[in-house]
Amino acid sequence: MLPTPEKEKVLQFIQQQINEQEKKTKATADAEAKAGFEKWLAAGSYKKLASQAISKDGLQAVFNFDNGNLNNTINPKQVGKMKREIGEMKDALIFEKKDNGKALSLNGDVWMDCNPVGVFRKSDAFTISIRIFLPNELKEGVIFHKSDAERLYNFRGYQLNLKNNHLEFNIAHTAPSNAITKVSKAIPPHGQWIQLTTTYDGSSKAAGMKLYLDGKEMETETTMDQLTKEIVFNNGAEPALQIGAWYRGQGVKGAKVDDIIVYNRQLIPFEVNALTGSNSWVSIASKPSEQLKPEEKAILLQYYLSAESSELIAARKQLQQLRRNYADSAENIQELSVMQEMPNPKKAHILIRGNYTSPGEEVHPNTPEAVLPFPSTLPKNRLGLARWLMMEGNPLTARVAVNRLWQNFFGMGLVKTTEDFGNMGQMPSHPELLDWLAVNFRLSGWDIKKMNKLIVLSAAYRQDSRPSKDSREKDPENRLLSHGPSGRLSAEMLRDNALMASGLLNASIGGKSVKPYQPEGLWEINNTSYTRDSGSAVYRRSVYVVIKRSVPNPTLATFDAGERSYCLARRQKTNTPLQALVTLNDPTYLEASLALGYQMAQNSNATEALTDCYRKLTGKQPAAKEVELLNQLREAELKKFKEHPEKGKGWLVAGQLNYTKTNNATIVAANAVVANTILNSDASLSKR
Amino acid sequence: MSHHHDDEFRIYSKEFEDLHKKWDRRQFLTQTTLGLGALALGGLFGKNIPGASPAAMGSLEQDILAALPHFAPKAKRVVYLFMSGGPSQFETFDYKPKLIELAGQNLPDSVRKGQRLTGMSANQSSLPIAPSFYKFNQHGKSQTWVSELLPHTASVVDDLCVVKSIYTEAINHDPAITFFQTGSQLPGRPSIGSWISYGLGTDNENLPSFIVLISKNAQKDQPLYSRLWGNGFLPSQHQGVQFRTGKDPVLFLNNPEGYDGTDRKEMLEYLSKLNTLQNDGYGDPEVVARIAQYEMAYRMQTSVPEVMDIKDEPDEVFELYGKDSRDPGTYAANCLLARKLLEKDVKFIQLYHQGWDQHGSLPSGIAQQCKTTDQATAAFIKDLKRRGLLEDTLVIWGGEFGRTVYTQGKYIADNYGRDHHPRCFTMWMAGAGVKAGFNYGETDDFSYNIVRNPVHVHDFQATLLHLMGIDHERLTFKFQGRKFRLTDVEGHLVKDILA
Repeated sequence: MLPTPEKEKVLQFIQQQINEQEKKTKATADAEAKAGFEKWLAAGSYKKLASQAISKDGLQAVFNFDNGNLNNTINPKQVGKMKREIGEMKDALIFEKKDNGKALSLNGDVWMDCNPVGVFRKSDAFTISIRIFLPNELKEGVIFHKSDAERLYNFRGYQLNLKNNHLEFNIAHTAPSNAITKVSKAIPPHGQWIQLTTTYDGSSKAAGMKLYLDGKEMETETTMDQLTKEIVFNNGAEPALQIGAWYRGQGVKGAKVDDIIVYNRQLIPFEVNALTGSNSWVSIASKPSEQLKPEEKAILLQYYLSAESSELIAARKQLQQLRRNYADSAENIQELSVMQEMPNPKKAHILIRGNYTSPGEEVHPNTPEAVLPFPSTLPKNRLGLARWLMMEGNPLTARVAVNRLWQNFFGMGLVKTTEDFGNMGQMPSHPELLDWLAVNFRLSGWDIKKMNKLIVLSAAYRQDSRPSKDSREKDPENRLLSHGPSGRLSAEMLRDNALMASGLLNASIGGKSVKPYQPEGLWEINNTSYTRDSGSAVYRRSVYVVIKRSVPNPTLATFDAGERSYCLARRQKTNTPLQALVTLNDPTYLEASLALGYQMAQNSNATEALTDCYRKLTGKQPAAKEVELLNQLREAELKKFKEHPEKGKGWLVAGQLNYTKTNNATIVAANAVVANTILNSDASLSKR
Repeated sequence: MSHHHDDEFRIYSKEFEDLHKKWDRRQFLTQTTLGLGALALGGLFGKNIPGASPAAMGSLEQDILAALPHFAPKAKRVVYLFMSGGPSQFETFDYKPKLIELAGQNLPDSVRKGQRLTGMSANQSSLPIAPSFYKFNQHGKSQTWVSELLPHTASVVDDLCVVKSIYTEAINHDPAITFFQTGSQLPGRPSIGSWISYGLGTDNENLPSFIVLISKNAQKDQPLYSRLWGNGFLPSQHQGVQFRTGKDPVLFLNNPEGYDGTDRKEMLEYLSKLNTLQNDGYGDPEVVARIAQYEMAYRMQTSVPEVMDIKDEPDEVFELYGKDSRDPGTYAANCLLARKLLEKDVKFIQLYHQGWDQHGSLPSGIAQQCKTTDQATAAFIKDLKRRGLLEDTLVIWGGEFGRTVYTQGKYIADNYGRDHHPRCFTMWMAGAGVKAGFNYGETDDFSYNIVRNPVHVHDFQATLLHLMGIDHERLTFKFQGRKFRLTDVEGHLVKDILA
């Protein structure tokens, strides 16, 4: 989670309250175990349990199918429904005779939806119990769950699942990583009726989950214990408890189920056992208190603390409320995915012909020895790799890094194949220089700013970029550095330069991506829509422009900004008619031209105004001939717009700017044309 | 080895040489990515393409391009009618009468042979067989089976080469459509149209050589991605340019409001002069090239709206394509527009029609899809034929995969669904260089496996390039240390379907 500093304080505050309340609850429990319990026992209040076959406290639902329907016998208004991927399936309602009543048969595709029973948050304690007959051959399939769909679709909720023939009890915000999960060590019996119960205490910890087979707690292994966010959807279509199958997942084909029981409380082991019918309260609850054996008292104590102690219940309620507050506060906090080493890393294989179903030889992490043998002192994981990359003896890292910095300024690296220093790459044009820069870079503590400064202050960089006739012939690519570098600006630089020159640039640093101008309808091809930002967000640097790989932003993509389908160390440098259309007609550039045109109109000296505009866009002074030409253009446009004001109209409205109502609108429009012409000229588009 | 390299700085390396000595020649050829291809090309180094600037292009690229076309092309232009979503072969072209008696029964394991299914039906507890709800008849001299959903297509079957044995490796939309369009399931490679534009250039100075059209009147069930017509690692002038309906048919084509073509022309003349002044002393050919690109952009501003304007077509043409064809952006109107673009010698037109992904309610869904497209598709073939364009234009119809013989969800005779099926499906081609009125390939009684003449996606791509005069193994582009081609390391020409 990536909370803002304020949010982080809020969360810390609530967490502290939770910690305190947990302590308080424990203290209350200790106190209640003595005074409260003795009082309760002496009053004989436990005797009411004698009439309860199963505990009534917290009981929400019992589906026993005995009347041949899906009614909740606790609340007959609640009736289950049979459903599958699309629609209701009344014909899948098949009952079988069982003992004196009935059981429900399942086909693995259709599930029983118990809505609205079983909606629990992660701070809620609950118990769910089910009788099930698993066919012998069945090894996979969901027994019950509360979710929209299986794990492939970001499972959220809780589930009891037969997985690899073991029982998996899982409570998740997003399975499998943001979750708590326990897996049974034993394989549950097949081909006979069994009773399974899951209990949970609302702590969001795996330790608070229990799994029972026929009333006895099963041994389990915890495979995940990090549940940080809410397990409900809060989307107005909250799924509830569902039995036997799920959307696009595997269900328990051929299984039969019976006696689905739901509590909003964590039952104590004795009560769980009572659900199987193998013990009952009668034997204990009918005894006078003085005849109770110590172990019977212990059971009653557990029950008292679970269901009867009003003080403890109040303390737990308070704790639950605090946990809910925490979950609510955490709900909208941004998350960042991080790679985490697994405790037992999975085996990696060469996949034959790339096919994931054809694993070949097993492979292990290592680095190429020819570069630098991997020291045995480093762990063979990502941390080890990072350390190896930065080792003094690693000849590649610094060379590769300075070569890219060099490329940024010279348009071409000392090794032209920036992305490839292997045997398919090219040799450096100046190997000694590359090494000198690389060593310097490493010794400087990898100081990028210092290296950039070193490069731009070099004699090589400061040369005149006009090639002599001789160097044009002998060194057309300037690999010998016979003259200063030149080249077209990158997509991002072009946009940033226009924003900077026009004074529109919003130079704020950091924060979320922005959506500047983009023609309408582009994202619609993949069923999304683009709502552009307004205000100063539109003028933020191009590095903040939102990246959508399937539909790249055309203002940038047209000028060879990478699509980001793969890592790109060296971009294309193309020269296309579509680029002309962007700098001529894209509102990004028209708006910058208009802003410049408006600024020019504030200066009554036209030559001064256009010289200033030229300087802002290109970083240099125009030659006299250029000034003359641009003045002619300005005059021509001014004349045109005076005679035909409608021709200048479009130049006065661009992006978020509108100068239609300005006094000297005609002059602004004519100047905008001049600014746009300079912006489209080589002096703006290229660095020389 | 150093003399084979294309750069003066690929100098002799002792380590590299030693490495070679350690291996025998055969090992070297098979174990390095240089391989035979590089040795064969070695003799070609040094040739130059007139006009290409050496700074922008390595000599390897020049040599590859100079050799094109590799042989006389049969097709000068391609129109690819891409039916996105995966049209069912069962309700269109692949007639399977034996399924009728097996309706609702579970697909035998002997047919499926444990092959993987998608996550959408892999967990289904049964896989009930669903025969086509629609009837089939034989049509034309070729006696080609076509379903009753495609009466117009049925009327042109004698012009079609129907391939019933196409298969792909991908099972989901994104990788499958990316595989078809770029030869790789992973995004980032150039689209077929980009390869063709790169290899063969353009025959029209005023329009892009690779144009994309998307139907507006389709069910938008599965997304498209503009990277599907992307140039990948090829220079960006080879990207597909989407022609859209509405006021900006090509992005940023329109000048500011009120500023007309003459105004723009005058401004560009000043710009051209300014550029020339600025280039004084630099003599940079890139500046000269850029001036030309601005001229091309200006020409596009006139030629694109012109070619997209279908108002002046005679009524008879609109009747042929169907009434939708009067409504720009519909499939029918796009087919008509495609014909106009072909007349302007645009090399590659990629048309997309979405909505073929019928996981449920297939009978009604596919009927609607066929109704929207059938008449215009057939009209397109007829129109090209009568104008003599079909002789040197290749038309392709097909989706990214087929659909399963079993129903996804519950089987009801008139309401079932089909999941994705990559192992066999039907496409057709028509026109330049392919046999007309010809059926190729055969599937088993369940249209689950191919029993005769399988055609892999790369085979299809190799054949497409062949028809354009390109040997698919020789049109390559070196990128990040490896030479790439549309067909990766596979693909065989399907000679049997060539006319």
